[in-house]
Parts: sequence; structure tokens; C-alpha cells
Amino acid sequence: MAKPQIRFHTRREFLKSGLAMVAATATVPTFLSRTFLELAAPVADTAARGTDERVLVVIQLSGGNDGLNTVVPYTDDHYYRARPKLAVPPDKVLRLNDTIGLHPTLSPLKALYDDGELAVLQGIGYPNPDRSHFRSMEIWQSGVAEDFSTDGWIGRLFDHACSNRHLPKPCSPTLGVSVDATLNPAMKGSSAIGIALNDPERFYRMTRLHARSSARRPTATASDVEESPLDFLRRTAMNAQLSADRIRDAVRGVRHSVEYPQNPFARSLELIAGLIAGGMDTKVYYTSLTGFDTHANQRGAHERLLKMLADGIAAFQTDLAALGQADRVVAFTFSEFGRRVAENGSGGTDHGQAAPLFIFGAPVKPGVIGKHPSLASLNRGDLAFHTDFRRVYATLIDQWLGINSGPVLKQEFERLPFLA
Amino acid sequence: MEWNRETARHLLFRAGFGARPAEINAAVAKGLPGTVADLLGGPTRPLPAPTWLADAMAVKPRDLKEMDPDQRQSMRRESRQRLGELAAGWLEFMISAPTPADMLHEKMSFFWHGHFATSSRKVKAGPLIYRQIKLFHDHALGNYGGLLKAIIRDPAMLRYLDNIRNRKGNPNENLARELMELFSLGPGNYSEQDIKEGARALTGYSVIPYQFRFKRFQHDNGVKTILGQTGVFDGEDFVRIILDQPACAEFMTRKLWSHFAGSHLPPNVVDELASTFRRSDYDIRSLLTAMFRHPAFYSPAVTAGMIKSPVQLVVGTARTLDLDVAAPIFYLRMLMMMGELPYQPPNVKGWPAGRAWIDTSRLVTRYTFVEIVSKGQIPAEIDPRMESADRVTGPERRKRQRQARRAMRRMMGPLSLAISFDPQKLVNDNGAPGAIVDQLAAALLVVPPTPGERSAIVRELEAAIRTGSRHNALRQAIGSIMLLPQYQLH
Repeated sequence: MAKPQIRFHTRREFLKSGLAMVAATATVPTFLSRTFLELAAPVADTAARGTDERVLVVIQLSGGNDGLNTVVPYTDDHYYRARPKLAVPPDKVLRLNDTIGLHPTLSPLKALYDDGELAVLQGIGYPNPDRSHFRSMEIWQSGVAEDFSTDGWIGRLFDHACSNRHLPKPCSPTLGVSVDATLNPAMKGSSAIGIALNDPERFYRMTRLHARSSARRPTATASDVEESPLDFLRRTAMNAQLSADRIRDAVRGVRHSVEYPQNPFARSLELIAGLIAGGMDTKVYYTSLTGFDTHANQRGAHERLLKMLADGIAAFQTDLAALGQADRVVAFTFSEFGRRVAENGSGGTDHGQAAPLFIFGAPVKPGVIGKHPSLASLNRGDLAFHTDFRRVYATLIDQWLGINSGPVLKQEFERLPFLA
Repeated sequence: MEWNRETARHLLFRAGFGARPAEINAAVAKGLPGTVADLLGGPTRPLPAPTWLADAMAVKPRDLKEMDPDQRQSMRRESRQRLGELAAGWLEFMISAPTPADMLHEKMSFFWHGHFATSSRKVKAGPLIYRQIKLFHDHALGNYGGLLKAIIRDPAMLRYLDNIRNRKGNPNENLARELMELFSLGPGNYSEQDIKEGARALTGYSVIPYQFRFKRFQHDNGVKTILGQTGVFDGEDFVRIILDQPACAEFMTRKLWSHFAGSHLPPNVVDELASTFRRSDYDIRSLLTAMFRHPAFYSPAVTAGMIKSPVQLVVGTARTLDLDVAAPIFYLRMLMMMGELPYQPPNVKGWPAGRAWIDTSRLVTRYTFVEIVSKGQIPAEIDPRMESADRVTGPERRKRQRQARRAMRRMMGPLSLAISFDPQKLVNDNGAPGAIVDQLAAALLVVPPTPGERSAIVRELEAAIRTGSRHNALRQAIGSIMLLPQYQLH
């Protein structure tokens, strides 16, 4: 294939090409020049500017994790009666206090708890629980339980923060990174911020495929507000390409301190640790572990998933500490719902409601927050929630990221005491 | 307003999935009224039934309950596979549309699928999804009132919006709310009380395994007041009352206009088209005829280009190039990554359009799609299994790459033969490179390339003709044009 007219392989070439100068002249709309100049700033500058920037990592457990076998009420007879086959025996439970403990495969998380870096939040859910994976996940991802929302809570967080200058303008497209083939719906917002990738090299090569599309001088338009669809496409393509450069450069310099387990989930955490240590300006990372829809033969499958989760998290925390990044990272796990209290006839469990979630990181105040939902008084056979999941989001947005959560969540939610 | 190649192309691109040069020429010769009459008047193809329909309907939910877990799992797998086949089959049916009228028919069917959005992720039963799509296909250009009446008896919809749980004394308002908010009137044109009363009218509209069933003992026979009218109403009455509202024609006119013309809609044009729609008693053909013949449809603000939906991009590319693809799952995979997998709208609001289609990763996917099509093979970059190969070296790396290629072949068929097209069908290739590029640009783009873009592609083509076969040179030029951001617009 012949060489396109203009093509950049690195930011340095982009800068040398003089397009950054073009971008700064009056003939180009300001939104374009802002984007160019922001993206043209070398990673090192970002790193120098913001190594103390706080970072949030979201871990989505898809399929509906069985909360009862994750955080086990090992003194409750109701639990053992409802789960003759699946219950975790009391002597196997890793005790957190006199009533609850962790599943034995979660020993790395127990160690984090003992080291003061893990909080367990119990009875999390939302009003009028929906047992559809699809709808329930949509509620968690949108952060809206009362209505349908086309954007996600993280997307709205960026939209709000960028328009109200909580974050330096112009907002960088790499503020949100989802480690996945497509952008997680939670990151969908109106300002097209957020990058999805599985692998920096692959993402880089994919953006090279269309170097021509983005590497054109953008057409000048008269106005700052009226961006034509064509300019919007050029700008987004340029964002993708320059972000890919930046991401590749960021992870290249990082030497990980631990060997991560060989599975895609652990690899995604390794990538996230690399991006954090590499000085990316990303505020929120998103990754997921799937397979929790354990309707049949749950025991082995669930144990493997919990082990994968805990081992991945342990490697991640050790790595972050060694890379000197642990103080700026808080992470949490969630699933779209918990599972039915009573096991079913197939050695599995069906869709339920409330569930616990884990919050971990050096800045976390360790402990167990909230009571274990009662197994004596169930809601349609499920554990009833007592704490709205958006209180978790609100706490993280307000207190950790320092952005007002009200406009993001469209309501005010009381904070939870899980941050030191 | 002048009727010429530009305007004819605009109409055919928006009313269909792009147009071949011969179709544009025919439309120019026929004139605007004749072209619109052809688009909306011709006999079109009925939707073929999937071969598995009878088999799938023979399995009742009760049977599923009695199966052991392994059997049930394999039933579920088969059902998911059938839904995949159904989606792929519909895409191929769209791609094979013989005439512009058939394209419009498919495009309208898909419009109703997005309008009355129902997800197979909740409904799951293949026969119900098929029958709902068939309903949209049968009524695509018929009467909107009839469609609205049919949708409250559609089993997939009744399940998707939980109306099967809507019983006298224990109402579920989901369907009643969306019926007004999303399907007919739009927010602000009804009250919460109307929703409550409407839900009562819809009690008992339920489903027995694969059919509609009016469960009269679950139906609330009391007096209701909906949108100012009072009586012993059932669902049909509820729909009739909705159709009496002037807001209904206006809401649907806006929605159809934005589907075909984009976001620019002058108020006087809404009024004019909405009143046409109402006067015709909600005849969809009458509305579309008026819309496609309206000068505002050809105003610069409308013709400037709107962002293609993923289905528009994929089906349009496949049909325009007459693409030969061994495994249509390729289309589904690309559409999934672009965010518009058929039968899986994100929620009951359907797919948000315009700029909402684009984020960095989806745009990269769109370019990757074009790259695959024009090169005729899948770059290793997009195979997820290649990731692991990136992380190791030596024999282990080669082993993983082999695995990746095998996996890809299973999905796509033989890699080198998987995707092909004949570039000579699009262009008279005896011309000079400049003329060829202009012809190709006219066939593929509605927004022309910039002079710089054009000359780069012309130079590329000249060089390619010198060094290789004309066939490959043309193919490469087509790829270059489709990699322009203008190709994302129509």
C-alpha cells in the first residue's frame, strides 16, 4: 500500500510535522486545537503533573456472583438448611468476625483484609430488584434505577467533570479506559471520552490501519460550537490514534514486580497496573470477569472464579505497592445481583437480589460495613438489600475522586465509611 | 429543487443501504415522483421463515423444566445459535435486496425493530423474536395504527415489558408507560395517572407458550379514564385513544424524519408532514412519500451527511460491493463491536443514533471492518487469540499463532477466500486514474473527498497500476476511499 499523505507513528512525529502549529492557528476551530494540544503533551508531562492523581478501578463480575458463598454467614442455620449441597462448612470459612467469613479460595483477600486494605460491604442492591441479567446490569452500569438511561455513570461523571472544570480542560479521551473489546456501557457519555482496548500493541496496530483517516489536516470551520459530523469523525479518529501512541509508550517503560496468573482477567489487571505506573492521565479503569451465572453444578465453577478473582487482585496489589502506586488506587468489585438463598435441584443457584461487594486498596478503611441481610426474612426467596449501590458510587465520586456526585447520580446519596 | 445525480443519490442512500451506479442512473431518468412511487409502490419480498421454527416451537417451557441440567444447557446453546442464525439470515436478506424498494422495506422493518425495541437477551425464545420481526416486516410500510394494535398482542413484547405479570389488582405499568412514552406520544403528552389507568386496560394481555392469550380472569373490567376519555376500556381502546391524540402523528413524524433525514427539522415541516400522516389515518407510505418529495429533505442541512448506523455501514458496504462472505457471522461480530447487534438493542429506548454511534473503539472497529473488506482478509490485529501470542516468543509464539489462525478459520472459513468482491463491477476501469477515482467516490461517498485526499488516492492508484494488476489496484483504491471518514457518512 502506498504511503498516505500524512502519517504519524509517534507523537514526536506528529509534533514535528507541524500539525500542532496548524492546530494553534486561528483557522482551526478551538475544540480541535485543544484536543490536539492536549494529546500532543508527552506522557512524561502528564506523569510529572499528576503522579498523585487518584485512580479508581472497577471490577465487574458478570453473571450474578453468589454473594452468600462469597461472604458466608457461617453461624446461621438458615444458610446450612437452604444449601445442603453448596454450603461452605464452618471450619473452612476464613473468619472475618463472629458471624461471617470468606470462602476458602479467597485467602488472598483475607490477607488484604488482615493488612488493612479491604472492606466488605454487605446487603448492597437497589429498589425494585430486577432478576434479568440484562436489566440489572444496565441499572448498575447506568447508575439509574428508576428510569432508562442511555449513558453510564462514569460517562456522566466525565461529562460533568469536564464541563464544570473539575478536571483540567480539555478533557483527555484517555480519562476512562475499559479493558475490553468494546467500551463498557458505564463509560458511555456525551463527550465521547473513554478508550476500550485489550492489548496496547494490538490497539496501536489497529489504529495504524486507518492512519489516513485521522492524519488529515482537519477542515477549518468558522465556529467553535458547530462541529460538523466530518470534523467530529476526524477528531475521534485522531484521538484514537494519539491515545494508542500514548498508551503504548506508557506501558513500555513499566517493569512489573510480580508474575501475574495466566488468565485474561489477571492480564487485564496487569495492563491496568502498567498504565497507572506508566503515568497515564486515566481516572477510571474498568475490567470484568465473567461466568458467574452458576445455575448448575456451581461448586467447582464458582471456586475457580473466586480463585481467579482473588489471585488476580493479590498480584495487582503487590505490583502496585512495588511500583509505588498503591496510595493512589482504590478498586471495587460488583455483580449485577446475588443469587437465590436456596440452592436449586441442579447443584446451582438461580438469580437473586442483594449481595456483598469488596472495596480494596491502600487508602481503604478496612472492616465489614453493614449487617449481613437476614436469611430468616427473605424477599421472594432472596436476600433483601439495605444499602443502595449508588451510596458506594457517591462515596467514591465525592470522597475519592473529589467530584460532586449529585449531578452525576441525579440524586444525593449518603456516603459510606469505607475510605480512611 | 433540481433532480439530478446528487439528489437521486441522496434519496437512494437515505431510503436504502446505498445505491449502485445503475440504480442512481435509473432514478435520475425516472424523475423524483416516479422514483418515490417505485420506492414505495413495488411488490417486495416476504421475510423467509427459519427452517428451525417448527422444531423450536415443539419444545414447551414445561419440557425444559423436566430436563436434566446438561440437556437444558444444550437446549439453551441451540437456542442462542438459532438466534444468531436468525440475525445473520436477516442481514443476508437485507444485503441481497434486489431493488431500492426492497432496501427501503428492510430499512423500515429494522426501524420498527429499533422503535419497538425488544431484546432477545430477555425474551430468549427464538420463535417469538422471529414472529415479532415478521410482524414488523409485514407492516413495515402499512398502517402505523395497525402496528400499534398488533404490538400489544405481540408475545415477545408482552414478555419483554413484563405485561405477562400485569394482572387485575396487581398491575405492572411497564408496557403502558412505554406504549405512550416511547412508542407513540413522547414524554409530556400523558400523566402518571394515564399510565396507571392504561396499565389496567392492558391487564390480562398475556402469553401462553408461543402465542398471545387474553386471560379474561386477569383482566380489569372496571371503568378507566385515559387521556381524558372514560369507559370500560381494554387494550384496543387504549391504543385507539392514543391514536386520537394529535401528539401521536407529530411524535412519529419526528422520529421517522430523524431516521431518514437527521436532526435538522424545521417546525413548519413537522406540522405539514404530521398533518399528512394524520389525514391518511397513519398510512406509513403516505408519510414517507410526502417526506421523500419534500424540498426540505434536499436542503443543505439535510444533505450535509449523517453518521451511518452500523447496520447501514455493514449492509450498505456488502450490497454496494456485492461482497462475497463465506461466514455471515463476520457481519454479526462486527456489528456487535460497533454496538448494533440485531435483536439486542441496549434497552427499550432502542439504539441511540447520530454521534452516539461513535466512540474511539467503535470508530476503530468501523475502520477495521472496511480494512478487512477491502483487503479480503482478517488482519491478525483483530483476532483476540493473537493477544496471547504477542506476549511470548519462540516456538510457543508460533504455536499460539497457529492456534489463532485455526480458530479464525473455524469462524470465517478459509482466510484467504473468506471475503471477496469484484471491483470492476463498480467502475469502468479503462479510464484514467483520476476519472476512476472520481467514479468510485461518486459511487461510495455522499460527501466528496478533499482535493488533498483525492490526489493522494489518485497517486496511489497510478503507482499500483504500474506495479501490479489492475484488479488489485482498483481494489486498493476502493479500500482507500472507504477508509476516508466521509465513508462513515451518508
